[in-house]
Amino acid sequence: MTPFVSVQRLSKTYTAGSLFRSRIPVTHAVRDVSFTIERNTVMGLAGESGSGKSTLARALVHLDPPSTGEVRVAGIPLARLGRHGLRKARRRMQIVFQDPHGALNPRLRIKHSLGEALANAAVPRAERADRAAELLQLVGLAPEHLDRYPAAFSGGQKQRIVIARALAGRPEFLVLDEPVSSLDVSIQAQIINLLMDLKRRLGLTYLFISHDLNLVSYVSDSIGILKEGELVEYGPAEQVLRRPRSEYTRKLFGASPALHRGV
Amino acid sequence: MSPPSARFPSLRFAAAKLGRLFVTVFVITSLVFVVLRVLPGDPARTIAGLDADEREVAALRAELGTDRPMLEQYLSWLWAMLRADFGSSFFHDRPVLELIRERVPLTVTLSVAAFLGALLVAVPLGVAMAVRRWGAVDYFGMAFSHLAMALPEFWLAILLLLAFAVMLGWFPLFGAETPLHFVLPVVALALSRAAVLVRLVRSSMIEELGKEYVLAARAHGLPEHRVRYGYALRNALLPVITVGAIQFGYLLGGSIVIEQVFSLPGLGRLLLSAIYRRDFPVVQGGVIVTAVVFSGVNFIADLLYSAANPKIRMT
Amino acid sequence: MGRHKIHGRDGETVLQLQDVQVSFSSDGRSARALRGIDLELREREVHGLVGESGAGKSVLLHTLLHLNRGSANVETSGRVIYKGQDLLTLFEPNMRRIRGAEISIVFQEPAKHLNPGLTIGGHIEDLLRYHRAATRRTAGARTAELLELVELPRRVLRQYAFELSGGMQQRAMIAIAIACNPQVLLADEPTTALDVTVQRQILELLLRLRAELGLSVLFVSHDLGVVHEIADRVSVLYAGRVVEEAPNTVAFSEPLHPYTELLLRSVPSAAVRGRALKVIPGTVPDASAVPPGCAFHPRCPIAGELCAEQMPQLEPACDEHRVACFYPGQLSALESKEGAL
Repeated sequence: MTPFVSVQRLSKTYTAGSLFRSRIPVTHAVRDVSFTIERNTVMGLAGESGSGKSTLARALVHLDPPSTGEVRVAGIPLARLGRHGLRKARRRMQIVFQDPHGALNPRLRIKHSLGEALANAAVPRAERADRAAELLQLVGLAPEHLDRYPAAFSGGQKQRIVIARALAGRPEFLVLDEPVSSLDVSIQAQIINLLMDLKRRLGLTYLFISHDLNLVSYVSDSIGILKEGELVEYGPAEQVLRRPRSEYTRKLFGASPALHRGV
Repeated sequence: MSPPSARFPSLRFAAAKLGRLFVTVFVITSLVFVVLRVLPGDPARTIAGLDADEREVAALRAELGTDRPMLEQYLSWLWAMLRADFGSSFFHDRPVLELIRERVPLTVTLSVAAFLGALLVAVPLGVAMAVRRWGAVDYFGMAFSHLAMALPEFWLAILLLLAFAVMLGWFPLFGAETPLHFVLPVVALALSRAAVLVRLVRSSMIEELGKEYVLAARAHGLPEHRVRYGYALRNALLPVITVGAIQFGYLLGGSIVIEQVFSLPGLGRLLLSAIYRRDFPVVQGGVIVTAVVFSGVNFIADLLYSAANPKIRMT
Repeated sequence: MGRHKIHGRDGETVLQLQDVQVSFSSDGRSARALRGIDLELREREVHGLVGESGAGKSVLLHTLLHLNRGSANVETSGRVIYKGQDLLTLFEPNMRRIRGAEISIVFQEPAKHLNPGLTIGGHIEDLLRYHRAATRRTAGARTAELLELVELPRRVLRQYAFELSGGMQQRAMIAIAIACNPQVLLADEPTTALDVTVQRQILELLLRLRAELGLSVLFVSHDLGVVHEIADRVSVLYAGRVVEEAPNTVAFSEPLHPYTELLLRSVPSAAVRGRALKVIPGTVPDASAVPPGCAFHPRCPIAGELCAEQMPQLEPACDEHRVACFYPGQLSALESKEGAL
C-alpha cells in the first residue's frame, strides 16, 4: 500500500547574492531528505535550531517549494500540479505554526477568521456559520466565542482556534510546526490531548515537529531526527527510542532532561 | 564564529558608498539642468532688460549659449564638468565657483552653530523627558516641540528679530559683520531643528530604557547614571545620527528663509536670486555643491553610524 | 546526570523570603502577583523554583533585587533576609552594592539582556569597575580568570553579543554575573531559549560553579525536567504562593500537593506513550482575579468546602517536606484506589 505522504530526496538550498558580488553564499537548509508517513499515523520530527525543521515543513506543503526532490500526498506529486491544482491539494493538507499570537489576525473576529478559511475551502456561504460553530466545538470551545477578537483569548485557546481554522477544509494531513512550544506545561497537555483525539476521530495524519524530544517520543509512531539539514535517524518510534542507530540521536536523547517518575 | 570586530568599516564598504554618492549627484544635477531650461524665463531677456530689442537679446543668447539645442548644451556642460569648469555667472560675469566660495564660510558657520545648538537643546531635553515621562519637563518639552514645529521658521525668526533686535536692541538687525549678528539666526535655526530632534531623542530613549539589557544592567548593580547614559543613551542616539545628518544637510544647503530674513549673504540667498534671474550656471553650480555637501554629510553620518553600531559593520 | 549529594540539607540559610507580597495596581484594579512567598535558599544549594507563566516567577526575582522600587503602582511587603538584613528596607545605594556583587542574576534570552553596543569585555569591566573599583589594567587578570571559569575563548572579550551563539552568550552572561564573586546566583530560566545539548552544558557549568565557588543558586524554570536535573530542593509556585517544597527526588516521586501531582503527570515522555496526558482543567488564574481560599481549588479534583474559604499555609508534612494543602497526598491515594478498582 502506498504511504499517504511520501518525501523523496527533498533538498532546499538558499542562495544569497547581490549584483556586485562574485561569491554567492549558498545555504543547504535541507539536504536529500526522504521519508514516508502512513495514513493516520504521527511522524515526529526533531532537531536542534538551525537543523532545517521549519524549512522542511514549508517545503513539504510547497509554501516554499523544494529545490529538488519530490513530495507526494495521496500518491499525487505536488510538483506536477499547477497553481490551481496546488490550491486544491492544499485543502487536503494544512500547516499549523508555533506562535498562536501571530497566527490570528487581531482585527478580525473569530467568525471572520474561520470564515476566510472556510471560503478558501470552497464551503458554500450558507453553510459557513454552522460549520464555524462546529469547528469551534471540535476543538473544545463554545460557539459564543465566534464573536470575539483574538485578544480576548489565552495562548492555549488561540492555538485551539488556529487548529480549528486548519480543519476548516477537512484536511487529511496536518503539518504541526512546534504547535505547543510557546504554551505552559499544563496547557501543552490539553492541546496535545486534543490533537491526538482529533487524529483518532477524523483519521488525520500528522507530521509533528518539535525540539522537545520528550514530546516527540510521546506522540510519534515514527521518528526522524534532523541534523543540519540531513535526516540522520529515521524509523519506527520504538526502534529509534530503544536502539537508535545514529550517535547524534543518542547524544540528543542523553542531553534531554527527563522526569524519571516511578512509573 | 564570525569575523573579528573591525573598529572601522571596510574599505569596500566606503568605496561603494562613494560610488553611490557620485551617481546621486550626477542624477540630481542632470535633472536640474533639464528643469531649468524647460521652465519659462529667458536669462538673456532678464539681463538685457524688458525694453531691449530682439537683436540684443538674440546676441546675448548666443553669447550665453542658451540658443543652442538642449542636448548640445548638456554635452558641453558635461564636458566642462569633467574639467571641473563650473562656468561663469550670467549676471556677475565672475566664475561660479568663486561666487560660491565666498558664501560658503558663512553658511557653514551658520549650519554648524545651529546644528550644535539644536543638539545641545534636544538631547538633554529629550533624555530628561524620557526619564520622567509625563512629568513637568515632559509636558514642557512636548509643548515646546509642538509649538516650534507649528510655527513657520520665518515667523519665529521675525519674532526674534522684533523682540531682541528691535524692541530690546540687544542684537543688530541685519548683515554679518560681527558674531553678534549670528546669534539670532542661529537661535532661530537651532530651535526649529531642536523641535524635531527632541521628539526623536525622547522616543528613542524611551525605547532603549524599556529594553531588557537596561534591566539587566540595573540588576547587576550598575549606577543609574551609567545605565542611563553609558547604556541607554548611547544606543538611543543611533537613529538620531541618521536623522540629524539629514537635518544638517538641509542646513548646509543654505537656510534660504533665515538668510533672507536676517539679510545674511549666504549660499541660500545666492541660489535664490540666481533662480529668479535664471542664472543657469550659478544655479547648477549651487545645486551640485549642495548635493555633494548633502551626500557627503550623509556619507559621514553612515560612517559614524557604522562605527557606533557594531552590527552594521559586520554585514 | 546524577546527583551525588543533596546539598543544603542542613546547611545554613543564605537567603530567606518571609511572607513576601507584591501587588500591582492600575486603573483601580490590583493584581496580586505574589501573595505571601515563604522560601529558603541554603548555602551551596541549587534550589529549583517551578512555576508556569503567571505564577509570579519573574516578579519574585525582581522583588528579591528590589528592582521594582521605582514604579509608582507597586506595593511590596514582607521580608527578604540576607546576611541579617532585610533587603526590602535597604536604601537604594546600599541595595546597588548588593546587586551584581553579592546577589547576581542571569536571564533568559541572553542576547536581549546584553548591551548590543558593548563588548563582553566591556560588560565585565563595568561590573568590576563599579563594584570593585577596578581599572582597565587591574580588571584584566580577573577577566581572564572568569573566561576560563566559563570556558570561553579569550577573543570573546572583544566581541559583541550578536557575534556569539546562544550558548556562548549565556556563558558570557554567567561570567558577567559572577565577576564579583557573589554569594547568591539567581537564574531566570537560563536555558529555556537554548538547544538541548547546549542546555546540558550550561546546567553542568552551573553545577561546577556551585562546587568551585560555593554559590547558592535559585533556579527558576517552568521546565520540570530541567529542574529535576539540577535542583537539590524544589519549591512549586502557583498563583503567587509556594504550594510545596521538598527535596528533589521526593518532590518528583511523591508529591503531596494535587497541583504538583497533576503537573508532573501532564508532562509527555516516552514512558507514558499510548496514554492520554493528565490534564488540569482550566487555566492559571490571572493575578487580578485570584480565587479565594486556596487559589487552586477551582481546578482541584479533591477540593473540599474548606478549600474555597481558607487559604492553606505552607506547613511541614514530613521531614524536609512542606506543603500548603488541606488534603495533602490525598490525590495519589484516591487515584491508586481508583486504579485498583
